[in-house]
Amino acid sequence: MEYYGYAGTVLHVDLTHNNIRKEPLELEMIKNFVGGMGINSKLAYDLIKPGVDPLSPENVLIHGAGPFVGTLIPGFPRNDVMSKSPQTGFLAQSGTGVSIGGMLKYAGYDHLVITGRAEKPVYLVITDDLVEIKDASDLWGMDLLEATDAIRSKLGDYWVSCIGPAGERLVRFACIVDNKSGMSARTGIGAVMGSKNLKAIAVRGTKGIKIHQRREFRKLVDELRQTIKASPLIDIWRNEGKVIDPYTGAYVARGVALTKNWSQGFPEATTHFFTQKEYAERVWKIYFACFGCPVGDKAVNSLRGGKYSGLTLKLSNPWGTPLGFNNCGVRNWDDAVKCTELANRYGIDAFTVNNLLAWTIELYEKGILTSEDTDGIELKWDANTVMKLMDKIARREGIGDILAEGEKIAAQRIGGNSARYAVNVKGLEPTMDLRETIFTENFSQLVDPRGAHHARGYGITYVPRKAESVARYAPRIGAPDDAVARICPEPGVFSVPRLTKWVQDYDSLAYSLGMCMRVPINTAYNLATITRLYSITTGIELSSEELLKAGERIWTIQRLFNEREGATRKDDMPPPRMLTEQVTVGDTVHQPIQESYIKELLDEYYDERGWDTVTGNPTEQKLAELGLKT
Amino acid sequence: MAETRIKKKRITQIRAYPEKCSGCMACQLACSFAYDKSFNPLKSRIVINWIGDLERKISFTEECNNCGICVKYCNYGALEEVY
Repeated sequence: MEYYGYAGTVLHVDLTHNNIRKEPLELEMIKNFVGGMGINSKLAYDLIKPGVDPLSPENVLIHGAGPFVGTLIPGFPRNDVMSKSPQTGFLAQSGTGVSIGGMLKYAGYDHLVITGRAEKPVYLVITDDLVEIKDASDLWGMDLLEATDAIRSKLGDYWVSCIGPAGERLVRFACIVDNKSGMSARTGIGAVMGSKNLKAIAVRGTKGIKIHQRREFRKLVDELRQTIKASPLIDIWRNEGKVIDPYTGAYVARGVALTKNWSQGFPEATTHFFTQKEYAERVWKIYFACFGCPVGDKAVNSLRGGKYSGLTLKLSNPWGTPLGFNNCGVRNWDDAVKCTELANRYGIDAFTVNNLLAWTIELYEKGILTSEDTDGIELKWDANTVMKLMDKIARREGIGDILAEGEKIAAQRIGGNSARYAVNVKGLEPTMDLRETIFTENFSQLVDPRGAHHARGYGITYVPRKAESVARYAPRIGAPDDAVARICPEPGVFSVPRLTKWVQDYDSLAYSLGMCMRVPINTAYNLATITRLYSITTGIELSSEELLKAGERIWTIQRLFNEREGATRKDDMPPPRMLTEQVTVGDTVHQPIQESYIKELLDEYYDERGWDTVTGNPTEQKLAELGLKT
Repeated sequence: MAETRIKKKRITQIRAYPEKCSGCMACQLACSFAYDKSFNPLKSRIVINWIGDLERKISFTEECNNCGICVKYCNYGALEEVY
């Protein structure tokens, strides 16, 4: 079979037996699961046996990049990494645009499947057809950024995906970072890599990716580039953190983003503490971008003045990741960038750790933890506390050893009513509160198989929308007339759960092709454009309906993975804090969400999916329709 | 995008402004697509290297014939045609 868009090979590396195997990417797999995250999902479902310990050799770590990745199609750079999560016990899934995925494709591999456990620390070097497992004794123990540099000085211009000391010590929310800036951060896949004694993957490829209809491809890509480049949003997203006020500022003002473990509003975050003006003057240095992207919203931060003057840090979310540490009481750019740098060096998911430590500080404040539990450290809402605790976590020392287990397990170990204050869904912490209002992005956090993740619910309702806008939008992502009628049952009304189903199916398809969900990118595409691009790029004819059905199949098989691990609809409930406590944001008080209301929303969601409303899992009939009957 | 179809312009030089480069590789992707008929940035005639975390270096291989396709696809004004 001649491959276009796809590289055509799945590379299997068994670290226990030093065995390397290459298998063709089957057409049937492509048609059913598209690529990237989709094919990863099928591989994870087939290869990871139910009930395995996520940190055992039996777990599997899978990389995959879709057919648009590594081409000139603007905004499709993402690599996906999948496994069973040591943090949640359910599906692990994370990805990044600044990734090795495209380079793996240039070397000839759409997917990389890593099984087993090496006897001693190793790293994997992929140079086109040559796949080598090399000794990493000298790299083991190095921080993530140092190790990446060390590998590059040995090998030259390779792309490197690496873990830090936290991954080596099996911290359950350890991350993987590609090329020192692309964070596959969430759900603890860095710990899975560490459990395999695999420090890094280095790759260099020169085989190229072919396109089926080159002339038509160039014409359509040129049109899309022009559309995206003409957007006034480009300047806002690219330069000097100009997006801070309209984006982050709006979220904190509304109370979608909160502080101090989701207990308080922080509307003055971007007006008084983390201002765009200071960010532009003292922090932001220069943009950088993923594959062929005309947006370029990544940046190198380089502090000018202040106590960490000269600190330079490449970040794929250059303002948002540091700002997240406000959750622990950090109140200035200097400390926030420093905390982020430390998280990256240790190889810790910065979003999980800012939530976990906010929870820890609150437990200390409430007397559930005392200085006896914290090795004598007095916990305060400040950067000093964050840095000390992150260090202890990365070393698994004292209290750090308990916290390294993540909120889900640590709450059991700490006991008392600590779980009552743990803000997570399925063990993964959210990025958006639900008490202000419910929209597809924050609702999706409840039902996403990977835990509280918003990005696969990215539609248009993250800003308030009228039902008329939703009725115009839903067909663009493939919702048929009967679904639009259910989503918008009467004038002026729309159903968030029903819309979420269609957004998730479309986003699952788009992610599997490699799409970035940044606003200037995702607003340039719709299902019809994606369908045309798919045909021109790959030469495989799939209709819009078939592609969207693949998106639904991908979402569903991820849910099946969790069902096998014991998940039911109880795992889709919001954290206790959001169900029981009000929160004040400026002059506004957001009431807790009524449990009965959330249950109604979930019923509606399962109904739209054709799933069982009692268990929250797919029905036999739905599985038969999707060809997933087991 | 075969080589023979690229209209020859009288470009004498491609001027590079590495301080504007985002490292997005669009130039390398466009070049390899034109001359290799596949996306293969390490076989491109324009070469982008990161020097540390802040600086980029832009250079051209001996095969480069100043066709200017890299300039057309640069999204950041880092390349300019000189006539």
